[in-house]
Amino acid sequence: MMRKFLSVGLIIVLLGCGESPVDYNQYPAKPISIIVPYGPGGTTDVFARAFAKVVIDYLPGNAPIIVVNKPGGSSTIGITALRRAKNDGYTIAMLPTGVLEVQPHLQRVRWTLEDFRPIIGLLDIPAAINVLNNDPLQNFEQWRDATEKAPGTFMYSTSGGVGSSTHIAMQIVQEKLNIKLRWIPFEGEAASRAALLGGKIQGNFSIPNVHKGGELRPLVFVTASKPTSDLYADTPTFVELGFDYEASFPMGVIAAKGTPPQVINMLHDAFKSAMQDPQIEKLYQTYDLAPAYRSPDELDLLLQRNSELARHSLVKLGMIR
Amino acid sequence: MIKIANIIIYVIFATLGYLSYLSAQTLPEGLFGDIGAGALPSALGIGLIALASVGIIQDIQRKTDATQSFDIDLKQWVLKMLLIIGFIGGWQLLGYFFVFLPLFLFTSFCCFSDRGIKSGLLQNALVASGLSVGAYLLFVFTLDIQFG
Amino acid sequence: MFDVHTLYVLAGHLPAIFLGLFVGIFFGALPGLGMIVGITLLLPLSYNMDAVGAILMLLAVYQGAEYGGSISAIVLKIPGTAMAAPIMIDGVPMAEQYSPGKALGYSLYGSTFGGLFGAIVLVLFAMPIADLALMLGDAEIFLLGLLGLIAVSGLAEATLVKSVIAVVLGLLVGTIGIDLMTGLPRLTMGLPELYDGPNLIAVVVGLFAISEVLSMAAAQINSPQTIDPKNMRTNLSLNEIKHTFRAMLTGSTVGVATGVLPGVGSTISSWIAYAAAKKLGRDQAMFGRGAPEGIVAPDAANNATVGGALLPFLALGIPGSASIAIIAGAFVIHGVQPGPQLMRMDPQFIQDLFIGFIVTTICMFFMGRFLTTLFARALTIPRSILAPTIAALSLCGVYVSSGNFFDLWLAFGLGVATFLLRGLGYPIANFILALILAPIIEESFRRALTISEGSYEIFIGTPTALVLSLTAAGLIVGLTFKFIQKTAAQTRA
Repeated sequence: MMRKFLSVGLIIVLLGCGESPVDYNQYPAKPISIIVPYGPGGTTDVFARAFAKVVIDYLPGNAPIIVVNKPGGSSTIGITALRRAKNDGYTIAMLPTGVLEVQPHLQRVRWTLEDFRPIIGLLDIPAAINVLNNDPLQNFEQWRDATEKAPGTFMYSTSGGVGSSTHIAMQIVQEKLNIKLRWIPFEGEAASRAALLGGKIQGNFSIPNVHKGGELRPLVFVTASKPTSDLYADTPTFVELGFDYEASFPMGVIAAKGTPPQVINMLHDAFKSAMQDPQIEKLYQTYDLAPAYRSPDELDLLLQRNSELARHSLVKLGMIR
Repeated sequence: MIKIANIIIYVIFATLGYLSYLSAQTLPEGLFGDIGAGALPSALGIGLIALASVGIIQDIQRKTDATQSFDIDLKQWVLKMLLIIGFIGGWQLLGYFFVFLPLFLFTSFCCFSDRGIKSGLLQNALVASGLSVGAYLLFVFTLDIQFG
Repeated sequence: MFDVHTLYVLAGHLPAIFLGLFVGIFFGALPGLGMIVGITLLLPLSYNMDAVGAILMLLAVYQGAEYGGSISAIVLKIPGTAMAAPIMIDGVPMAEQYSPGKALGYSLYGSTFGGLFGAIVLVLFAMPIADLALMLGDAEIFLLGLLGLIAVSGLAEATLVKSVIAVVLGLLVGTIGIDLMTGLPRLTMGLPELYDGPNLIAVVVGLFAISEVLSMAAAQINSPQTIDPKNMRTNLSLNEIKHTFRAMLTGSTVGVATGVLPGVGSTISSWIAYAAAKKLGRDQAMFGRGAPEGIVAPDAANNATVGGALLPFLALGIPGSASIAIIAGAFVIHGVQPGPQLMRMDPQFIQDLFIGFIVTTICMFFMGRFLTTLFARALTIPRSILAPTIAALSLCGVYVSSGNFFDLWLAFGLGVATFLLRGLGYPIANFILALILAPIIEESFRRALTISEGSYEIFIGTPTALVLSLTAAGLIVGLTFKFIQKTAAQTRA
């Protein structure tokens, strides 16, 4: 019995060994893995799963795209897995904001921005400086006057901890405005929003939600993107007010460096077409977000700019030399 | 025996406490009123050393240790550990989870059966492969989870 | 409240509720494969369901697992979930003296009572209680967490030194990872796998499943035990229910209260409920020897936390427990943003959810009556089959949760260490509780000081904080005094 069992195992092993050469006319000839550097359930995961279902219709082969969740390590574990995988176009990753731009500077990972090749930018997550809807501060100018009069008293939070991309963006905002705010760290968006509702802090830097009947009213958008709602038509962006900074929190898809260019192109075209698919359009609507297409080169350029800004801020924060 | 084991574990804990105290010293001060990232690990490290010391003193003073007994069937225990190590290690190094899963189950079933290794081979093989097929249906077929 | 629409919606959701309950009881009962693994496994299924159905299914896993954990605590003497640990204190003696069925009956009635109590509180007090929790500052949250730790240190039956060492170790492991307030990795030994702290599922599997599997081999309990199906009847007489009613009420109240507080999950609530039931019990000498109150109180508390934990989540968007945090994923997937606005803007959604939640609890009762015997039959499986299966399945669960082999080795290493330490009398529940509470305690302490700009006055500044501080100080003094007294007595003897 034992011997029979082993021989069955051996046959399975031998079958698995025969690999065919890569033929891109049939791509994908075997399942493509798309790594999500978070656990199931978050925005990145939801977008990855939705796209995985649709994108396959726009590729010549008919093997499926499988979502692989690799959470942990401040999303570096998933990205490291992509770096280690074969760059044959059968492993790609969903790229959340801040990993490639920030983590290499902290010298905790063995890769840099240059080890990856962007495929497409799908989304720009908006972020505004928000106060409670019933706050007497009505607009950016009033807020700026108030913070100038009493420096270091306006307490706010961001959606991440020290050195996260949102924290860094607010450091740059303070620098550009020449004001001093007090940052109170919270683990996660929900906890900070509760503190805001409870009156323990005065503001936060995240997606406003008055358009959903929520309590967060934006004073100024630091990103160019806004949630798709008429309510924010009159809310200025940082650039519109004449400041020389625009934060950008892109979400896209990347592959490891050295992935054949024709595969990158095929995937790019498939994802781009998928963005117009009714299913995907509905997904964007659910999140009140506008699609933000970026070509591989555009996304690459943006990541490089963000990376340079992050390095500058991290030096100022004393986290790196 | 128990007394010695207790004291060895206390010494290990005290060392752990010392190490975490040391590594916490490299962490910088926090901002504003924050006590810093190193404060809690340092305090816990010192606490661990103190508690382990109290434990050692208590154990030395205690005359009898009839209250505890801790028997390990060493052979079985080592075998079990080796089987688990072989399972995880083989799966990690070679992949083929659905080869190693029934293999691990089958070998373990046989090794730990009180009726001796040779009896019930067929039943063990059936249970092992049945469980593996169930796992395959649940994880791979239904939930699309990839095992290395 | 019960209009045609709601009934129609509910009928559509019943299959999802039953699936969730089955998976919940199953994973809750199987040691190591806790509800978090169950929820994680069902989450992908929920993508294709509507919002209410998906959320009800995941809540059913949560409810079911809180009960399922007790089945293995009583029948296998392994708590299927960390929350079920206190149930063993009286559940195991009762199972030995009378029958496992009697102990399971108390467990099921307690769970159902707690679940219903939690649901009713949720429906009645969603708004007012959420407002109350909002008023608590970081200082108060810190003090509540601290009280929980002191309580668990003093409650454990191990020697005080070992009990406190387990807590300190748990806190220490809980600080592993990138520090929120400085962004620096602590005690990670440079391993990126530890940046977000050790994978909780790996830790739980190591502590409860692997260590158990190792001791099964060591103890060589091979002979299959037989259970008499008649002994498994989970029937309780009206008198028995009446007798434990007060304990059920106590447990449920504790459960809801601890559930509402963010982060203070059901682990702590079941211990507090046990202590409270013991304090209020008619016959204190019976506790630890199979007192029914000692089973119903923690079980009622476990299930009441589900409703309690939903309160701040629905009303504010703060998950009251780790499981709710995962269920939050289902809300996000369907674009539902919990918070005061949800209560106001989508009352139909909230109503369907509340009614579905009550129905889930009732279904759990009947499913428990039916499935408990089935699951208890796990005892008749020879250990030589059960142990390797638990090991393999729980390692599968770890892999499913992160896809990382590091976590498998972590679970294995922790399992070996736990096996040795448990043999020496270290309480494992203390460790896991401290581990979960560590970030809450540390972050709220440091954040309180950041907000007060370094002034410790914030911990006695409000009446609530003052009362909590005094209680904590009193407990510490009391425990130390007791310890010195006991040591002195031992030295003299």
